[in-house]
Amino acid sequence: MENDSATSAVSVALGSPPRVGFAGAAAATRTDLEAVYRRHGPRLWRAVYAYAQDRDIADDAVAEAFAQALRRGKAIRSPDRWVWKAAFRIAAGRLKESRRGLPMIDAPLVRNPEPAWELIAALHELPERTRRCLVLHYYGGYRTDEIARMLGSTPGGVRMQLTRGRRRLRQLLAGGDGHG
Amino acid sequence: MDDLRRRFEALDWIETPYQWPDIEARVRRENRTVRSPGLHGPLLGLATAAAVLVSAVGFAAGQWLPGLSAALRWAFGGAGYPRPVTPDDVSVLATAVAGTAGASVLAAAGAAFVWRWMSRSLRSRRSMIEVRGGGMQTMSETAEEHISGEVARTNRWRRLSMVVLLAAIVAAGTWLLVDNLVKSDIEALIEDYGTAWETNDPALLRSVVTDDYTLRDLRDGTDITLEGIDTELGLYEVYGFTMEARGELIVNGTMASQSQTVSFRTDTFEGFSVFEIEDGKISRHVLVFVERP
Repeated sequence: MENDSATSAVSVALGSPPRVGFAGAAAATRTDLEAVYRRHGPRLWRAVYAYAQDRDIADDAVAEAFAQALRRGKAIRSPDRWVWKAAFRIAAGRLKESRRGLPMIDAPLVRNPEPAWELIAALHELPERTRRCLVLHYYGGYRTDEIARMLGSTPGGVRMQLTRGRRRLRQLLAGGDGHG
Repeated sequence: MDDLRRRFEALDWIETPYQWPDIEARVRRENRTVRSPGLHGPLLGLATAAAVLVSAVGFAAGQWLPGLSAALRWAFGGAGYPRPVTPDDVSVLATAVAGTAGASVLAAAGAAFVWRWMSRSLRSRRSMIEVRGGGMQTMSETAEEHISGEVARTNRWRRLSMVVLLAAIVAAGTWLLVDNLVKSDIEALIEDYGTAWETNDPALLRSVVTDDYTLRDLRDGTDITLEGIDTELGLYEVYGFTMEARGELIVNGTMASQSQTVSFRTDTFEGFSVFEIEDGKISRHVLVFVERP
């Protein structure tokens, strides 16, 4: 797998996660979609990786989501949102099919291991649905109603998952008992 | 909440692969596996529609079996199904041809259908996308278990197609067999009828004709009709004749016809007989004179 220094080495500035958006989203030509990928692909990959905690699944889900978006072309009105939704669904399907425990994070992937390792390890301890809600909300920047539409759930259900997840995640991060 | 948001921002330190070349490769791979628009599909649909149409016409006209039988006779030889009574009738011939054509095209369409499924099975080994439960799932080339599952599903369809085709062939064969057995009964009936006249056997004659059986004799411009079995039996020994078949017995529904040499005690001529069958017995026999040898 090739690494692109322009996209992989640059970390997103701290602060509020950027709300993914694509100007003139009505037309998803190859060039447009490549621009979407360059802008949001790395963040999407990290989000899927944090959720699935499997490099292969993240690779496959993100690549396939963009490939399907490319095939659909102009039929997709908002490619950025569409690929997020598609990638998480693909990853969820792959996780369900694999029916195996989550692997531990691949350490060499992390340039600055400490904070990322702690978070990944803590997420590892959470239920799959809770983990997905937390990643989409805190890293993807999606609102509860948007997450509910993605997951086929209700905003109330998502809020409940977030509440439980926040409480448990804080415990894990504070106590350091989240390491596998 | 901000504390968790900052925690998640740590994910930005994770290196990510540059996947755009892989994304484009996936699209190219999928495009290769998607069949380009061609005439194969429309032609197959057209052939199937034509087959259904001509078969329906042939079946509705009652000439489906003669047509199918003609095809089998052509392929394997043998007696097959009897030809229509009036082979010169264009409408009968046309429906017989339609039946044959329908059977042939249906067989070709079935073979093409099976071939198509086999081809799809081979293509599915290269690249497959599975859409399930409204969501999208990818199947990477390394996911052999997915490929095995897809191939198994394809095989299931292929097996189903073969079973349907086999059932159709068995049904058609059974239909032909039953129909030929019915024809054999009529042949035996006509033979017994001829034997009864030839051997002057009243009991046998009574067993093969109905009570209101009529014999009409059209010879040299005469038109003699004998009505009722008792009338015939009164003239039985005087009127006795033998029938020697000169051609194949032709059966169509309740009518049967055969070219014959008919010998009376004082006369012999070549002509043909037309029999009307009712409840498995002869209800009417017309002797038609053609020429004296």
